[in-house]
Amino acid sequence: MIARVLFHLLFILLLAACGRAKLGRLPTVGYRYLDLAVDETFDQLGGWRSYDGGEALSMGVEAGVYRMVLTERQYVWTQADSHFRNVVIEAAVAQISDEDKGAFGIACRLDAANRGRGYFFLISGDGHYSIRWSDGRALNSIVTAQPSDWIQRGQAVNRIRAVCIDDYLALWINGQFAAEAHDGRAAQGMVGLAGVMNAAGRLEIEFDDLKVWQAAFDSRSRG
Amino acid sequence: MGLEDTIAEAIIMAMDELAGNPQNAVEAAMDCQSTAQWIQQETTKLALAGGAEMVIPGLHALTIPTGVSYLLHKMGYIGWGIGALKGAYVVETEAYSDLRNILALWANDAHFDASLVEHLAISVESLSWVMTAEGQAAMPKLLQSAGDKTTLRTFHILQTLAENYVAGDERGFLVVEAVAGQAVAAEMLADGRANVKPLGGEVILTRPLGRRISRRLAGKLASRLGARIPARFIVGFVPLAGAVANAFFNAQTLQSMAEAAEKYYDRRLRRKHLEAVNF
Repeated sequence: MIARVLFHLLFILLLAACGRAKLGRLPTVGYRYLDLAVDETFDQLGGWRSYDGGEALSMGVEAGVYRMVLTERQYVWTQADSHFRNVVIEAAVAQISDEDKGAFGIACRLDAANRGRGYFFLISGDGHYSIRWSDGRALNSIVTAQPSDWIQRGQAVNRIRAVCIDDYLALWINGQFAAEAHDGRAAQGMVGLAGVMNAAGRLEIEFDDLKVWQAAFDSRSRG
Repeated sequence: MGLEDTIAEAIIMAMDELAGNPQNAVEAAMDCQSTAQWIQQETTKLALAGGAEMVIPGLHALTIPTGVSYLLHKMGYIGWGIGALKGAYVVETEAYSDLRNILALWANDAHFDASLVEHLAISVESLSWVMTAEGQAAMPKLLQSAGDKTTLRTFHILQTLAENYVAGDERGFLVVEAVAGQAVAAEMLADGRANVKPLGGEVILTRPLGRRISRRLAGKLASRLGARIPARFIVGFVPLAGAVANAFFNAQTLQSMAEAAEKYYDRRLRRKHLEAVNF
């Protein structure tokens, strides 16, 4: 009897330990990739916007990456020039600066007027992730900031995947599921890249290998 | 009156009747996943309509003028939809017309040449930017910039569209609403009311006013469309083959038109172009 209790206790402890260590959560729905609509390596300027606002903010295509540098408390984005409804977006983001309070990521369903309305899928240099809705003035939480072991911290490269299908939103980091939510404030729009500074300091990030697939739900798979 | 003259006259009348209402096309296109899906959907519809037009041998001779008018309508419809899906503010007013520009490119075998169009396509984001204080502050410099005539004319039209939007251009509001959402459309209006000041810019148009399309352009379009008409007459007398061939002709025409529309809207005026003049 004691042996059985101990065994169950050990099993529960193992499960808990696995959960804390690396056992990933599972998404509630699956999706499938359809046509590859954007395959951007930033080797050419293309339709991407460049901006030079001095030390406070500069961004643009440079040496095969899209580079953002921001120093003030602000969030910035840039958007591609194609409209999409249901998409999976992936991009590699390298943090160059050693500031770990900044956040960065990708966005979907940005409004065509470029006023910053849309969904933002962010990770931070100190290992947090979040899904946010931007009304163009502030980033409001849909999934509040949570720590994740999947995020490579500091000066590292992370691969972010955002899923935007109907009202379903999901964030994957380095191939692992992180968070999901449902929100119906935007049904379509542009894909974008984003940088966020929450405190004083300097954030320098580089985006590369951006891919956008049209996507649909798939009951047979979960990512 | 020759066949091409007849078609040219039909085009002029059809363009006048179109009277430019892109809203339905914009709304329908925004339900599509991409421009490719939109083009495929509309091409299929037109191919089927083309087939039905020829399905009764002999009747096609009566329906060809209607078919040309319908084709023109579809050209506008698909072109405006492509614009919306590319984030363009579809311009279709009495004075300015995206469709007229697209047709001008199409008549030129879809090769883009800025000198062929009266103005560049305009993105929603550039119209949005012009509504802001920053955009309005930049406008005088833009209007005096030393660019090519087409670009300069586009800056003038952009300012005029902003002034019209603020003055209550309901059609313009609905187009922005369909492309960017109601909140953005309302926000742009609020920004515009706070910032846009009439600059009294004069827009010089190259085409004669009075008709929505010049006889010269209508003639060029008729020449391109007319090249297909004799074949349509012949195949129209052959049951089934006539329907299949006409479906193919219509689909091919619309595909080439979509190509012209994509080239036109790919070169739309964007915020980064406006900032490039000012920074």
